[in-house]
Amino acid sequence: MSSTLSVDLAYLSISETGKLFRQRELSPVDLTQYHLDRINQLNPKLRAFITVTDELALQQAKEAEEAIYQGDTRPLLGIPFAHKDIYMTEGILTTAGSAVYADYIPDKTATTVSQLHDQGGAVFVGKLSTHEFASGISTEDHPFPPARNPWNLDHIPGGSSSGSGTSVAAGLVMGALGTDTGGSIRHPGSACGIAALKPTYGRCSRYGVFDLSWSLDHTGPMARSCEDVALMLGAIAAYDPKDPASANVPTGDYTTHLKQDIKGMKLGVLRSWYEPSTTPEALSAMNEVIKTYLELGAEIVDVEVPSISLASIQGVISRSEAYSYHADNLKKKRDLYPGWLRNSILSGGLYTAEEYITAQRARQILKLEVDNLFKDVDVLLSPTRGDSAMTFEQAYINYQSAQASFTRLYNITGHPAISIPCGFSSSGLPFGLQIAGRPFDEATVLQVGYAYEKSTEWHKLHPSL
Amino acid sequence: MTSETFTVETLKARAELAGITIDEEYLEDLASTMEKALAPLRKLDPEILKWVEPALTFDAFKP
Repeated sequence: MSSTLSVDLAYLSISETGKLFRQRELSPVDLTQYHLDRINQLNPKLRAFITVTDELALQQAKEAEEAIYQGDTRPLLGIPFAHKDIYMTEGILTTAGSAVYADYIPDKTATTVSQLHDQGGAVFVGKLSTHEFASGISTEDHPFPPARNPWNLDHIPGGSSSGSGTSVAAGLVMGALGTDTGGSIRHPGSACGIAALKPTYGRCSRYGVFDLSWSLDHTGPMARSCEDVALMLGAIAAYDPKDPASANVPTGDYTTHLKQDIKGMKLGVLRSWYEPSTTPEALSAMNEVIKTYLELGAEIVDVEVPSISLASIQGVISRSEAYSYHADNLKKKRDLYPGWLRNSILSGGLYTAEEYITAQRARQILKLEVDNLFKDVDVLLSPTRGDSAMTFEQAYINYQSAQASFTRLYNITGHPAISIPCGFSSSGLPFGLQIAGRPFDEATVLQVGYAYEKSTEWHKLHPSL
Repeated sequence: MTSETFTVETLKARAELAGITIDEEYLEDLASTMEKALAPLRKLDPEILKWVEPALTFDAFKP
């Protein structure tokens, strides 16, 4: 097979690509080589990749091609993916974006990576830049300098799944895995203008992924549309006995209900939460979202989470758990942690047991309040962040609190939430819409996201590179 | 939960007790971050709170 297509291979969807493969109009080998060439050309300025696995990718592409000849119809067969470099990959460098693990070659592979590549037949093209240990932001003098936003290289791509956001938005891969403890899948989703899903806690395995905060950590898919995210989720949503938090609940094909009408659905809007801390431009984009859903026949209902101020407890839980994870390394390899990160993690050792347990109790209160809202609405809407991506200069001053974020709530409560693009700032940077759903009801979240995508063009816009 | 505001002095005292060294230049930022994280917890009624189970479960449901 050889490619004679005039389509832009960089931005094909996963489902379109599968059709082209099966019609013998496109070869997985040609597609993989195209992406490897594009990575080679663009990575020096985007810095999305830490490791590119050329030989492995081409070998897997050849195997995928043979499988397609044999009539194999797995939806991810031959599709090029790469993953955040905190997913362990047997025999392949896994750095966690840190000097602490600069030469670490794991002897195991994360379950979700195996599900996509060993079971799903996807092509593994490499490991992606991440904020160090999925926390904070890396500086220019860091051993692994930060990925850049493909829409404007002076701006951050969001994080901590920074390379995942950059590589998907820049057409270097068709999808990527990220992790999310306070918004680290959805932030780069919003900043880079892609679809990025934090599934329900327990839906996708965390086995083989570096911990940041085990009771808040989630793994999840990032791609350029809800349909592509649904295809990836279908491959990685499964009970995994190797992950103690994994939920033994039914999974399925997340594309089945994707294209169903949303007329009559009730969409809850958390207006009183996000309005005070959202910029006028981002607010305007959000108001347009609501108009679009009204035109689609959905019912809009203003709702509130009464104890929303408790969302700050994410910091108590995440830092306490991160300290527990890193305490030994912080003693033995203190100087390998950059100052901000080292001190931030160390501060987690200063919360008392009472404060940590009280935070976990408060978490239960928030979860029950959000569950309660879902008795009356099908999904909850808000912006993902209060503005578009900040510059590196702004981020280095105060990355943690320089901008409003609406993501932490769902790490605390465990509900699934996706960010999809919903407009652009006057400076040409994407805004994200966050859609959250009932526990283990990712299908409805994706359905509501898909309906919006079908009515708008934002997800079809790509950066000039 | 203590009703006191979390200050740089609180942070220094806890760090000394725990044997954890926080670099001087980060004290103010970290104390401020920790105060923001803890402040909403102090408003909760401890009599109600102590009956709340601290472990979450996640069930698939449709109301």
